Amino acid sequence: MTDAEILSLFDRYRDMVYRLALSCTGSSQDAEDIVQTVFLKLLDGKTPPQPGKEKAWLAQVTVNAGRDLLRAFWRRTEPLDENIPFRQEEESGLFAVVMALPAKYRVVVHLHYYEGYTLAEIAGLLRAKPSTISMRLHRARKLLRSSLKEDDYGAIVPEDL
Amino acid sequence: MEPLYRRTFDQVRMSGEAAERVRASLASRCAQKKLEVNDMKNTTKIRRPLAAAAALCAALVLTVTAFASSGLAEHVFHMLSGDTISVGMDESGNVRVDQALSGEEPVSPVEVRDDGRVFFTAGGEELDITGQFSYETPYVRECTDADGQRHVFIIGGEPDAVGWAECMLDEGDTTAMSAFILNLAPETEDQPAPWLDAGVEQLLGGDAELYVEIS
Repeated sequence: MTDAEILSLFDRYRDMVYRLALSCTGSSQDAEDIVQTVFLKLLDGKTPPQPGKEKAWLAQVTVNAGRDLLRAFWRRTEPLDENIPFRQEEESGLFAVVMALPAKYRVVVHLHYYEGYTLAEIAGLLRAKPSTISMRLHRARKLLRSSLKEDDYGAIVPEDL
Repeated sequence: MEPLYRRTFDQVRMSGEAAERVRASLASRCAQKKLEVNDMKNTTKIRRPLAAAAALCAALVLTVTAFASSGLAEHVFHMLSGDTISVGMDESGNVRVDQALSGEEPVSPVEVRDDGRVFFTAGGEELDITGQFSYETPYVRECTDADGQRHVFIIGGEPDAVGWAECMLDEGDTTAMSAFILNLAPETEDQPAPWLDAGVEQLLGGDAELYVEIS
């Protein structure tokens, strides 16, 4: 892969990697670090993606980097310092409740509802059984439903996500 | 109607400043890589101790709250694989961890011999474990060191790419702490390791995963 191709992939997928990293870690600072780590790995070229599967490769490496970061128990944990000017109040409300989910639920929700991965694909990414992913998604929906109702977003059910 | 989740997270983007910083870093590395490639044409490749450390994928897991509540000023884990992990608290009460890599290759608990047989060699043992682990199934062995501390090894993968992990368990009267060192063959670092997941589940039980949520 040429340098130009790598920089082109960065321009195209940096936000995808960032969102997924944010879902994994819950920290914008950590997510930015992961973006850098992921694309440096791509540049290293030790385990390059197969042609046409660059996005899947980036998702896998991002999830791995997020997991490594969570393994590093000595890392500082700081509250999410995101000041995103969402267009609507319900969007900022949803963002807050999603980010308040435990990491293992948050990442499954993101991969399923945003990236459109199937449960089997998420299981492959997270090295877990499909039944485990299904259970996490079920629990995440339950938590989201509960939180959204508490915030007067009762009209928004998880199926509407 | 555009789904709310997608609509919301479409607005979550890396800041322009951070994106520029990372892009500049990548461009700089690209330029540096070209220089290194040119340099290597006339240079003998030297294997440095740092290379061994870089190939080591090390991860540590410890229940921070267990340490914080133990009242200890510092706790040191002496791993059988050679590394020393010290855990302490700084003046602000933050847990601080130092992993002292020896700079040499870690002492692997696994030895793949010329005839293809695989031996477990940690803790003074020499056990033929050929065929007892695979890509999906771990071989798990517990050893006790001279100080009575428990070390659990999880071994898996393929004979030409064996991975292993050492978990040291320190169970005091009121606390239980553990430190975890993970070694994967460099070519498999980014690949799934079902043997490791199965071994961790066997070691830590239930729905345990190889990370801790910090509280």
